[in-house]
This record gives sequence, structure tokens and C-alpha cells, in this order.
Amino acid sequence: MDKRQALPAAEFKQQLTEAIPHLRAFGRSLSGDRDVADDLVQDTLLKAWAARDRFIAGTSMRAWTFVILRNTFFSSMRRKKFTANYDELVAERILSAPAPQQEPLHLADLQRGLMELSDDQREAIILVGAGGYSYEEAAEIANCAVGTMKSRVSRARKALEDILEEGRFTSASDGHANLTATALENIIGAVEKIAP
Amino acid sequence: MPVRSKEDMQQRLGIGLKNMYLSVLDEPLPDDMLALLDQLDTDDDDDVHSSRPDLNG
Repeated sequence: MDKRQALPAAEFKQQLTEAIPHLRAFGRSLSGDRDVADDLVQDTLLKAWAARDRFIAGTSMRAWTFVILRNTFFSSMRRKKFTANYDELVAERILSAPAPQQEPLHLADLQRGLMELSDDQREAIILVGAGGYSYEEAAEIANCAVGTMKSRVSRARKALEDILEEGRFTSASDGHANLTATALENIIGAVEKIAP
Repeated sequence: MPVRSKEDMQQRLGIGLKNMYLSVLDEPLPDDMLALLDQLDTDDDDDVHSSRPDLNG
């Protein structure tokens, strides 16, 4: 017998509202753009509301809506509605350092570095490294095996460390202000290779 | 550029990722998103519910 129960509309809406900040954070990290992320969140809210009788009471609203958002994003990427990019607005912020002797990690560089990763790797490191999901939860959201998720996170972390350490940005995250000198030099070098 | 240890970089990356995510959580919701939320109830009998989208995107 199927014991699944849908939430009453008011309770569903309450839980949906509570998930929105996380949806915005996930969407912005995934797309690299504030406006694109908010469009994604709005699409997600409409889809979630329309499908609310398929949400099972007692399960995670956040995880359920993350699945909708990531499916919308990747589906739209294929149709070119949304494009992964880099947000100039967030580039002005500087993230706090773990200790005074360490240089702060610039959000601009971090976001650009994320855009250098494959979609799968970017999603994995955002879910586990930024969102704090377990490998099991992240694998469920991304619809892959736990081992695959672990592998993606590991490769994403290594690639991101290398990119940030070396300032090795490419045209995948190109085109905006507040670049570090190293990144800018690399971009100029890449342009010169294309049009010497 | 100062030489950093691998552990240092991993620590900075971990904190950076978390801060990137957390910084968005503190932002107020945009007005158009709040308006959309308000509309959800009123659209109950309209096309939003009847034209159920595919969750797969």
C-alpha cells in the first residue's frame, strides 16, 4: 500500500519559501550569475508548486527543489536559454580568510574557477563543498551513484585548487572586471595564441 | 607570489566555498520573487496547476 502523503498547500508553501535562499545560493553557484540564478529559482518555484502533490511529506523540500532547479538549468543550458557565466556584482566581494596570515580568497576568482569546471564537477563541489550535503544526498540530487559523486568532488577540488593556485583561467569564465593580474595575463596570453 | 602549502589551499578553498554559499543566504529576497510567492495561491485554479511541467526540466 502506498502511504505517501502530500503536504497541505499552506505547509508546502511555507517549506518552499524556506528553501528559496538555498535555491538562490545553489543557482548562483551553478550559473555564476545573479539574474540567471533568480530566473532559475522562479522557474523552480512554479514547477514545484505545480507538482506539489508529488512531494512526499517528511522528505527534504530543499533536496526536492534542488533536483528541479538543476534539471531546469541543465535542460535550459542545452537549449541555450541559460548560459553559465560569471557575475561582476559578486566579484567585488572578498571572502574572509581562515587566519590572519593567509591571503583572502577572492570570490571573483573562486566563481571564475568554478566556471572552469565541467558542469558535473561544478555541481558536485557546490553541493558537497559549499552546500554541506553528504555524498549520498548529493548523489541523489544529481541522480548518480555515490561513488561517482565522490569521484566528481575529488576531481573538482583538485582542479579548482590548481586553477586558483596558478590563476589558470580560460575563456570559459572570461570577460569581466576585478581579475587578478595572473588571470588577466593568462587571458591575454590565450588571446594572443588565437590572434597573434 | 607566496608559496602556500596544499593544506593551506584546501582550507582556503573549503572556507571560500562555504562563504560563497552562505553569503547568498543572508540576502533579502527580490520583490518579484516575493510577488511570485504571493501569486502561487491565487493561481491555484489557473493554468499554473493544470499545465503541470515536467520535473526533469
